[in-house]
Amino acid sequence: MISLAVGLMLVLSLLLVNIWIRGQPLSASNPLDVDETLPLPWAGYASTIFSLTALFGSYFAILVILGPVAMAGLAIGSIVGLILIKGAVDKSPSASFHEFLLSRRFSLNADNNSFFLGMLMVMQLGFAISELVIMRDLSVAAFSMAPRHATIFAVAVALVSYLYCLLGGYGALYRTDIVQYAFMLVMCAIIGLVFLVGAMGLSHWAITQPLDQHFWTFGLPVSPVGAAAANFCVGLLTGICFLVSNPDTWKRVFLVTRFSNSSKHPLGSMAVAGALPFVLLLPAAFLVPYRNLSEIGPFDLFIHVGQNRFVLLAVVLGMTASFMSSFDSSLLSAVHLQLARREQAPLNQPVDLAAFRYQIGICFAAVTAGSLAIMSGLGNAYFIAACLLSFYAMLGGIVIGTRFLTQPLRTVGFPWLATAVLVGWFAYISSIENSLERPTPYLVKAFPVGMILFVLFIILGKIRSS
Amino acid sequence: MFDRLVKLFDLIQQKDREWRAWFFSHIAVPAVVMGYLISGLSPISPLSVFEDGISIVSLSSSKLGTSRAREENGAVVILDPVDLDVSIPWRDRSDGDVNLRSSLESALYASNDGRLRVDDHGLTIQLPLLGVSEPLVLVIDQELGEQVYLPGKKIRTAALAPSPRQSVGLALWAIIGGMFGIGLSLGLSTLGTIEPEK
Repeated sequence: MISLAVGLMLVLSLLLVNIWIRGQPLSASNPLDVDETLPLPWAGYASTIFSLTALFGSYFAILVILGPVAMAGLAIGSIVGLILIKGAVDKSPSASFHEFLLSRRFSLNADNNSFFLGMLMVMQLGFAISELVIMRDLSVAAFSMAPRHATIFAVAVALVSYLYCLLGGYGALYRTDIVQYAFMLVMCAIIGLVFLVGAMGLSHWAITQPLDQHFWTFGLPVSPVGAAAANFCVGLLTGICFLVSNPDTWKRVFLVTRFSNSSKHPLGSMAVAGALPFVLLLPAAFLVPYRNLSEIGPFDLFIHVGQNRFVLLAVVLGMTASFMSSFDSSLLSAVHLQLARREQAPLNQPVDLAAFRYQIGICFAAVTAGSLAIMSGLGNAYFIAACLLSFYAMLGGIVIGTRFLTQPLRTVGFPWLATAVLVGWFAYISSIENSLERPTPYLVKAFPVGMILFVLFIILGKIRSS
Repeated sequence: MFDRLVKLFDLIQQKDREWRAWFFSHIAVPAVVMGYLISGLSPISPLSVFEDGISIVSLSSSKLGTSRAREENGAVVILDPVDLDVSIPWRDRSDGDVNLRSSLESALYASNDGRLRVDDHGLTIQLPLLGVSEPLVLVIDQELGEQVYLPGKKIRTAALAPSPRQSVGLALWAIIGGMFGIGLSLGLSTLGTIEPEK
């Protein structure tokens, strides 16, 4: 029954696009320049912050190791990030998001500008790869799949996402996001209920006893209050960094700000939509098993899931939906960035339907090949996510430092600087104990280092902007 | 084969840019990805397991009534009634008679004397067995070797362990979804496009 339900969900997504696209096929001249007809942009926003990479790669570890103060910082940072993006949108005279994207200028040098957009694109593709690899890992651990079959499952589901994005672009993506958000909410509600019933009668709540509040203080002798403040600040910066460096979130905030007629506080609706899955999961947070650092695993949340077929069904559908929503958002963002890069100087190439089809095919092929290579060679599915932290920090810092890419940098040599940072970061992450062989909570120690990098690049952006 | 590929490539090159982009995104990429997933050449394909027609489960303990469980190695071999020759050596050469229990009716043993052989070295089976149209189940009290020998290849015994049905089901339904998507995308991609308002 579970397999059939997943198959029906995939078919339902495709049929939804089939019905919609007959009335509104893609534009021949600029298929991704679509704004006003996109429904409920906040529904897919949840997929950005409720992605598998975020949920199992960072949020769970942060909650268990550092506690609710760090998570509160993350939540508030996400809201601050939304406000910063809205500020940039309000100041922009652009009539469409495509125009808004084209008007962003990282550097006065056209080649550097193209390089920056290219880095954003690579970051989105890396995120898609991370989602696919973690989906496969999740399928093995939580759905009891054989590794071989989990690979097939993850890649085939990604193929379905690719196909409806290819057919309908943003229109297909935003419409399927609504269905996928519904599945995610149902999953979170059911998990929350299961854990709420289980939490009653507990003598203590695991959430109040984080494993190591000093995990982010670099071994310095800091008081508990000082450690909590540091955790909050790192969480806050992380939340801001993740959002301001994500072009998919820029588009959603743009749409919510410019085209939302139904709500007086559209950004509030977006924040609520993003927070709702986590609120529903709060009872699960209370029951996270209390263990030591060497024992915790990213899927400890599912200890109770396999015992009930109905709950397992909800989890399989919800997690598959979450994967599809974040995978297709990052894939289409990467394609849009690549098209914008081609349209700008110095390339000045057309961005018609043929260009869109070429680019999305190339991006999907690259993501699939990269994912399969990583699955066969890397023991830690979260290594990619840890490496991506450097991209988020650098690019997010530049975005804020240049006032959302409206005050281009005067500097040259950014490609060399970026390459040096990425190589150094890769060496740092690889040096963390067992980071290549298996999932390790010690990767979470990279967050404060990443946020220092984020602040440094904000300063660089401020100093060197025109 | 190569000539045909060259001709196909020349044919594609003659088409216009729009057609080539459509072919690449709607046919080439999905075909390569789906082909890798389901092809018997792929190490992850479920078909490669289905085609072999053999599953092996290693046994590690036994328990009689309420007595304590004790370590006892053995194996369960499940063979489909397909055209297949299989040789499964024991891990260690057997000192005495090998105890074999099976789903084969005792009356059919004589008819299949040359097709089902058990000796000191291992188990050799020539499928299909005469008079048998259903999967054959063998329970053996010997520990199997690390490899199983099939015509033209050797397979690790551990790789022949059966997968959970849910695992196979999820993978297959995802493939069905992918196939459905490819078909739908080919049909819908010919709908045409819209021109933006000027």
